Parts: sequence; structure tokens; C-alpha cells
Amino acid sequence: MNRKRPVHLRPLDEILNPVVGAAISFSLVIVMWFLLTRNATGAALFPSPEQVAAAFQRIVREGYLGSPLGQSIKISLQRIALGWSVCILLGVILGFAMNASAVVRDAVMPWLAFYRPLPPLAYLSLIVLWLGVGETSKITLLVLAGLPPVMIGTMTALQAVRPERVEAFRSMGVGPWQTLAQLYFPTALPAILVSVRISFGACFAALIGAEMIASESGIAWMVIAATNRGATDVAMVGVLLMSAIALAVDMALRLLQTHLVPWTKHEQ
Amino acid sequence: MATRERRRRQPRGPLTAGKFPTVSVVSVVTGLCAWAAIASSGLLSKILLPPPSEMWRVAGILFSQGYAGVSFWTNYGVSLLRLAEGFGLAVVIGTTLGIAMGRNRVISNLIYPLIEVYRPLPALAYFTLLVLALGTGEASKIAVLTLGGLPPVLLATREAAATVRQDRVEAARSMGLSPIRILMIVILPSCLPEIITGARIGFGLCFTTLVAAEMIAANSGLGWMTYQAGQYAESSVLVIGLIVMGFTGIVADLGFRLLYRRLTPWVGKA
Repeated sequence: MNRKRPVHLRPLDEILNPVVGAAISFSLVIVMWFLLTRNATGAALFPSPEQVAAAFQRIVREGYLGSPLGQSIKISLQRIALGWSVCILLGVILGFAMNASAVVRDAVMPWLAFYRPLPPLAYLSLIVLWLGVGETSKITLLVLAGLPPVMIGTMTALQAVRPERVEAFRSMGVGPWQTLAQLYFPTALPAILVSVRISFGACFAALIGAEMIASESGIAWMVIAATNRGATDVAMVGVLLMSAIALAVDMALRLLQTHLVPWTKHEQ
Repeated sequence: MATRERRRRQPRGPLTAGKFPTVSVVSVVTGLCAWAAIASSGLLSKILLPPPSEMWRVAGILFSQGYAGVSFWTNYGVSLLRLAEGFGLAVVIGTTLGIAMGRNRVISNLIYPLIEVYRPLPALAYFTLLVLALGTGEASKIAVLTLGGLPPVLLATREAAATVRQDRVEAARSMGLSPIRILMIVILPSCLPEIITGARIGFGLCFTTLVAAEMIAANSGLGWMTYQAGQYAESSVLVIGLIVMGFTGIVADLGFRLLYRRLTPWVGKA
């Protein structure tokens, strides 16, 4: 790094390293929250930190609208776990199939190109008409929402398998399944993990949308129910909890990336 | 550098090939025929699978008279306007902040942690907060679109701005260019490929967020229309809405690819 900066910025640059920078900006946000909710106009709508803390204690004790908080979180986590794992499994299998056969790829691609940019919530109503309002339609929505990145990510990654390695495996008499497990899968793994992270984002967004629009349970239902009843402090607790879940999973996946595929550089 | 170039040239999505293999055509035609055959056979209710004739009829009414008293084109226009405003802001803010962060480490260290923390959050999660802070009007919708589309643009620009070739910046400086001119003539064009790529991803996020926001808190727009149609089991309107959204997405994607080719013709040729 021989980037040239104005002289007066240099010492600041060394003092303000990423850790200090993060500390400063996060404290700034929290202080702003305290200050902005102090003034009379904002306080009515936007809850102050104390109100949110009080609401958190209250719903931990009593739940909200008859649903215990733990129950709401558990339901949401179960939905995302089921939908997301089906989506990964299906996406990887389809990605492999699309890489293995040009016919499959050409047949699937036009449909994928059309459905991929569609917002999942837009076709939720259609899924509900087909499968009812129960859990099946929500899981289906999550699977459909998270599928394209995994499919395309897996397929693109497999295209990078070097032909001479395939030849080498074949010339050494390695069977097709073993080649799959020892050549194709490890080559594709870094990209699969990246797409799994992207797909979690899509699944989680779809889950929140589905719970807000067509559900009577789950953490996002709690947020929208509280918002509609003017209980903004409870809604804020729910938003913070959802954020915590999303951040925890994202961090876990990053850790998984550094442990499973330590040989690749992880930018994002 | 070599890996960078190679990565750029790789296909990015289903449409990148730009050609239509026979199998694809057969697949689409078979799918559409199967839909027509099953829907017209009467095995399934019209609500589950509207037949093409029915869709045609409803499309005629929808495009001429509108839905629930609101013209279809008004709804579509409202959605496109929101999209343009929210996404436009995301690109402007993302590019500005991204370049500032890429060129200055103090700014980067201050802002980057905030971006990384909010990036994994689904836009709908903080949409509720934006409504509380900005009200139920257009402002909260535009804000949620901007926030939703911002991270990809910003992060791509930051990465590009931080890796602008230093010798070019030095050359421009030695020729006496002012910092502003260096920014406009050297740094911005160097970042352009990444900005467009980031914008393309950001647009997809904005589009998804738009429909979600319109479903939850709006009484106009394409998302609102399809949601209403879904609530009243008017599948034809719903499917037409989906088709319009699908084509909007495809057209936007083609637009970005065209932009990429036109504005950055040097990429992959160095």
C-alpha cells in the first residue's frame, strides 16, 4: 500500500484502524438513537432504547399476543432450516445435472432466466392457491427463493473443473462416483459455499415476507402484528432479533468458508 | 490481474449466452403447450391454472380498463418510478461512498462496519423501522429500495476504487490534473465495470424489495396489484402480473449488459 494521502490524514489513518472505526461508528449510531428519540416529535412513533429494553423483558416473560417469544423464534428457525436445506440439496443436484448434460441445461435455462428475477413474494399467492396456507407453501416459497443462486453457482463452479484432471482421474481408473466426490465436489465447494450464503439471504428475506403477509406465527409475524397494533417497541425488539439471527448465520457461514475451503480468498 | 480478466469474461447468468439452443425452444414450447392442454382439459380449476384463453381475455380487460378501478399502466408506472428513484439513489450514494471508501481508509474504517452489519439483513426487516421513522408515504419506500440496493454497488465500487492502478493516478497527477479531474478522468472510468456489475446485482435486490414493500404497505403499484389479485384468487391477473415482472427483470438485465458492453468496451481486451 503506497497510496499517497494528504499528510494531515496519515496519523489519523493509523489511529483509526478498522476496530476503532467500528467502535466509533457503532457508538455514534447508538448515541444518535438515544438523542433522536429524546425529542418530542420522534418519541411518539420511534421507540427509545429504554422502551425497547423494557419491551424485550416484557415479551421474554409474557410473550406477545399469546405466543411466547421462544416459540416464535423456534418456528421461524425451523422454517428456514427446512426450506434452506432442501434448497441447497436440490440446487446442488440440479447444478450438477445441468453441468453434466447440455440437454438438461438448455431445457432448464429459459425457465430459470424468467423466474430468477421474479420477487418471491410475488408468486407466494400462487403457491398459496396451489398448496394452501400451511407450512408446505412457506417451505416451497423458501426453496424457490433460494434455489437459483445455488443452481447457477454450482453449475458455473463445475465448469471450472479442468479437463486434464478429469482425464487424469479416468486414466487412473477412478470410478465416476469417486471422481464426483474427489474431483468435482472439492473443485466446486468454494463457489457452492458462496452461493449457499447468497441463498440464505434470499431464503431469509422470503421467510420474513411470507410471515408478514401470510402467517399467524413466527418472529416476522410478531413484528408486523406489533406494528399494526402500534406497539413499535415490540416491533423493534423483533427487528433486532431478526438482525441477530441473520448476522449469526452469516458469520457462521463465513467461519465455515474459512475452515472448509481455506485455500480460497474470501472477499465478501 | 490475469484471474481478474478471466473472471469477467465468464458467463454471469442464464442469459449471457445470448443464443437460443433448439432444446431451449423445445422446452419452452412443450411447457406452454402442456399448460394450455392441462388448463383447457378442465382437470384443474381455473383458479389453480388459468387457461390461455381466459388469460387473454383478462389481459385485454386489465390493459384497457385496469384493475380495481386503477389503470394497469398507472400501477406499472408508479412501480417503475419508485424503482427508478430508489435504485438511482442507491447507485449515486453507492458510487460516491464507494469511491470515498476505496480512496480513503479513514472513511472506509468508519463506514464499512455499518455496511457489513446491515447487509445480511432482509430489507423487509428494517422496512418496518423506516415506516416508523419516515411515515407510510413514498419516502419510506424509496428509502428501503435505496438501502436494499446499496451494498452491492458500494462494495463493488470500493473494491475497484482501492485497486485503481497507482501509476495511472501518478501519471495524471504529474501532468498537473486537479484531484477532481483525476477522479473524473482516471478513477471513475477505472471503476466503471465494477460499478455496472454491482448496479446489476443491486437492481435485482431493489426489484424484489419493491414488490415486497408494495405488498405490505402500499395501495398502488404492481406488487399491490398482484397481491390483491392473489387475495381474491384472481389467478389470471396474478399470473399476468408475474409475467410483466419477469419481462421487466429480463429487459433490465439486458439493459445492464448492453450498458456494460457500450460503456466499458475495453474490459477483457487488455
